[in-house]
Amino acid sequence: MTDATIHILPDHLANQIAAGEVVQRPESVVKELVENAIDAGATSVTVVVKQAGKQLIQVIDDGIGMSKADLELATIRHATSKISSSDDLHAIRTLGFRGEALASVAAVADVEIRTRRTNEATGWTLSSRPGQHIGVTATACDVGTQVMVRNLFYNVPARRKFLKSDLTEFRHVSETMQKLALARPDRRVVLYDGNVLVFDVKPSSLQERIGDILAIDATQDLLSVDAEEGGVSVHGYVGRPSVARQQRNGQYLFLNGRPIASRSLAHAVTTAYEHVLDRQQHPVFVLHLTVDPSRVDVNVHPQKHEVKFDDERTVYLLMQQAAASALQKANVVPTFTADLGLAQRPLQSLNMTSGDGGMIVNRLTGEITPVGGRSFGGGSWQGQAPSQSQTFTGAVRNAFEDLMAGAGRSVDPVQREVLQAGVAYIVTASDEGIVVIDQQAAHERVLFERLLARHADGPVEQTLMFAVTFRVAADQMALLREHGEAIRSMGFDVEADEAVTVTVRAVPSDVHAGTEEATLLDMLRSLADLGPGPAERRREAMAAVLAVRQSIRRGDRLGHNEQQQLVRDLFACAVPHVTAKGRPTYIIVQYDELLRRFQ
Amino acid sequence: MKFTVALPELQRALQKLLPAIPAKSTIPVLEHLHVALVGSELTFTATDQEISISLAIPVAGEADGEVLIPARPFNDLVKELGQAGTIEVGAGADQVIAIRTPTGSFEMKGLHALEFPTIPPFPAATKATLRRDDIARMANKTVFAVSTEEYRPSMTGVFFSFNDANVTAVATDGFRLSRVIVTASEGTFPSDLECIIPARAVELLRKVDGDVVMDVSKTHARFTIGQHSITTRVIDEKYPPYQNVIPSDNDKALVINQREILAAIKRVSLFANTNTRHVRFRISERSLAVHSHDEDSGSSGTETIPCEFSHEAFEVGFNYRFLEEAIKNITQEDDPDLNVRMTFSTSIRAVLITPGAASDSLLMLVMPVKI
Repeated sequence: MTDATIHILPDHLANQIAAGEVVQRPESVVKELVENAIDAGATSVTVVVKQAGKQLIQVIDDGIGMSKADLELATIRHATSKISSSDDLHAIRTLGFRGEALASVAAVADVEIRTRRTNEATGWTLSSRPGQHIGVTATACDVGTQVMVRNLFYNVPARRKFLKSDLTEFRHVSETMQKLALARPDRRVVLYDGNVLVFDVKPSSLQERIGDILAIDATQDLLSVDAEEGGVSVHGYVGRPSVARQQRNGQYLFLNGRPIASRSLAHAVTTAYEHVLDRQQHPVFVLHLTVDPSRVDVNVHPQKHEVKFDDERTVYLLMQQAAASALQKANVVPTFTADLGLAQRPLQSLNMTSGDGGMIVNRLTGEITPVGGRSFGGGSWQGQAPSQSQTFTGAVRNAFEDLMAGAGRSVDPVQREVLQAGVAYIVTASDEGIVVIDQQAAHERVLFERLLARHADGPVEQTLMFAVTFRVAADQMALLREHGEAIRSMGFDVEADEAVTVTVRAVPSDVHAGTEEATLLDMLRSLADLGPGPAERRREAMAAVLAVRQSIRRGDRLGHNEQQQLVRDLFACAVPHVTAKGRPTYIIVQYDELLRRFQ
Repeated sequence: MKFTVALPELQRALQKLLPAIPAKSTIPVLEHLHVALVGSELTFTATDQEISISLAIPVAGEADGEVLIPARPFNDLVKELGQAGTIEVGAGADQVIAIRTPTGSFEMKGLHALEFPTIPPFPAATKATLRRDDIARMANKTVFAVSTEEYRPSMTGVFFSFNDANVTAVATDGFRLSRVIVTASEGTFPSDLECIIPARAVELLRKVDGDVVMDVSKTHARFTIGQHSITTRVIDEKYPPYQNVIPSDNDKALVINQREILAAIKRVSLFANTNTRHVRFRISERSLAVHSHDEDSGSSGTETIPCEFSHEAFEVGFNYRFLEEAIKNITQEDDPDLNVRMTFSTSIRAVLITPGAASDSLLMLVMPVKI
């Protein structure tokens, strides 16, 4: 230790620390470099990554290039051609502006830049290593700029250690490339993983670009959005409810051409889908906002993901109305609710037990929630509820034990009458009350436990006569590579080629013919949602998806034997009272309750 | 309108018409039979807008006319009138239908004939004539393999494909397939005629009582058996390339007796998992062991039957339902001794099932379950 406690960091160390803000992983490098290429007026941007960018990231553009003098300044911090005065900072129309990107990258990797301007005969090469002197030499090269970033973080082992597996890092890269491709449909965007072409999209309309990148049918499944108000305009496409996903990964927002993340604006669009999508489903949309640059602040986040509007409320309402009117035009959303009474008072109390563990059902959404502290208008039964307190799970367990009790209490549910009510519920009775079973939820539970149990002694794979082949988006392919083993362990014989085509040759025996693709994609999404975790959790997630997919539905007519079988199967489950996703499978209306109601 | 009709004739006619009467329709008029009398010919028409059936029978006509009669109540009454005798049916301008029997009289409300959906005339079509036994054989031996999944519309029907000398009928649901080939007995079939007929219509063809003239247009197919005709829309889809999946290099051949193998599968399947329906074949040169094992319930079963096998020991798994349905499909007309021939290549490739007596006429294919 020396006497000095405070000293100024040497440049190379300060740069390394600052770089951490901008360059967190290979994906950040790709993003910064591609944004530079677009700012340079490139009509075509090619990105090649090796080992998910850890070994090499190469970005090739055909933009305006740099002169020798510019190149010498390129890797110096706060060197930028994009703004020159503080007034410019309030009117940013380029993607980059801080002059930090190349400097940050150069602090943590070997960087080589080759560039030539259109009207110059020779090009120039700059080679730099972190903390070393920079040399610029004349070279022969094409018009435009090529940036090669090698051995990222080799001088920052701590950073390198925190990088995820190649599969995960590559998924981030390909997600970012998808965003950039959607941001600029007028540019050609190419992504290679080593020698393998991941995608190559030619300049096209936004609609076609969305179809290419998200692998959906652009003419069928996209609804056009176009609206403007108070200097803010939004245009782009929203997906039909049928292409909604279980994750938010089909949602892209761009502000003046820059990808942004905004929970609040995504929410605005989602609310337009109220009543046509489940809560677990998320609509697909790609929307471009155009706002006068002086009215937004993009400088609130180092990665520029978040932005601040001067009038967020207007933007929110505009987005919501634009999406809603697109859906209405396509007759997706009804414009009125026939039953006003239902619309205004959707909540109805269901007294599940005799205690305060009642449930409230939302008649519009079918949601069931515990009463908790929520109060609701009209016809509350809470005042009449007896004071004896019995918890939800306690009552359910009692009911279950009653139903399952053996010879001693003779309440085998199978011996009892069952009937299907409203083509959605199976009604039977226990010693405690009338049992109303949600047939869909119940079947989901039964299938879920069966799938998990079956898995224990190896999957049963039904081979397919006609192998199913389909295209997936790059991010889904990365997920498939990452989770291929887990998927195969469930009984899917899946093969992916080097590009974007997936072939399925065998499926678990419960998968309905024709749903192979959708089932597989659902499983990938739920694995992505789950993130890293023990194998058992992953299996549960996949079994839950399969159970939901293969279950009978509300509205399916069941024969008497099927009704009995379902009741028998449900109460043979280890956890009969909820689905894998936590929805209740049955409720009991107690005889006490009936007695009170008839007085 | 007024006529007298013999009961047996009427009962037979109604049985053929009822399949086109929807059980419960949102369009009440479809629950009616269209009845038209011209001279001494009474023509019935029924439609559920997918399938239309029409049929003419001779009656003693008194007054021409047409009316819509509620199909089920009329059939219920006719069923109760016994097997012999005649009844008199009449309808006036008020569409009230009066039925007179030797001992009773009944009235019910009909509808005006104009309310019946107009059935467009059948467009220009390609014709083929099929012998009664041939059409029944094609229908009987394919329809079990048709898919019930709406996600694959092309597989919900039977694919008919004609060339000059023969006609091929194929059904598959992606897990098993059945193919029947029938050769022209007299004359030739039209060439390059292909169509997919919905399973429901094929069901009706199992029970025809005469040779069938088949007309196929772009959108519809009509089967005419004398005075009886069945019209159905065709499934406008591309049939999957089934020829490509029929293996030609299955080198392991198993010959077994149909009754023995069916009995063995039946007993063993009682102890198989009811959801996966998984049973396993362990085949050696002289014997075949059919085995099931259900982890869920802890039950298992094995049956061993004699067989001829051309190869050393081999194992393969199946969904017993698919296997059973395929093997059952072989009848004495295919092989008088009821021998079944199965050929295999690997335990994950398609298994061919044919009658023991070599013939191209019937071929089935079942996809195995991976062990």
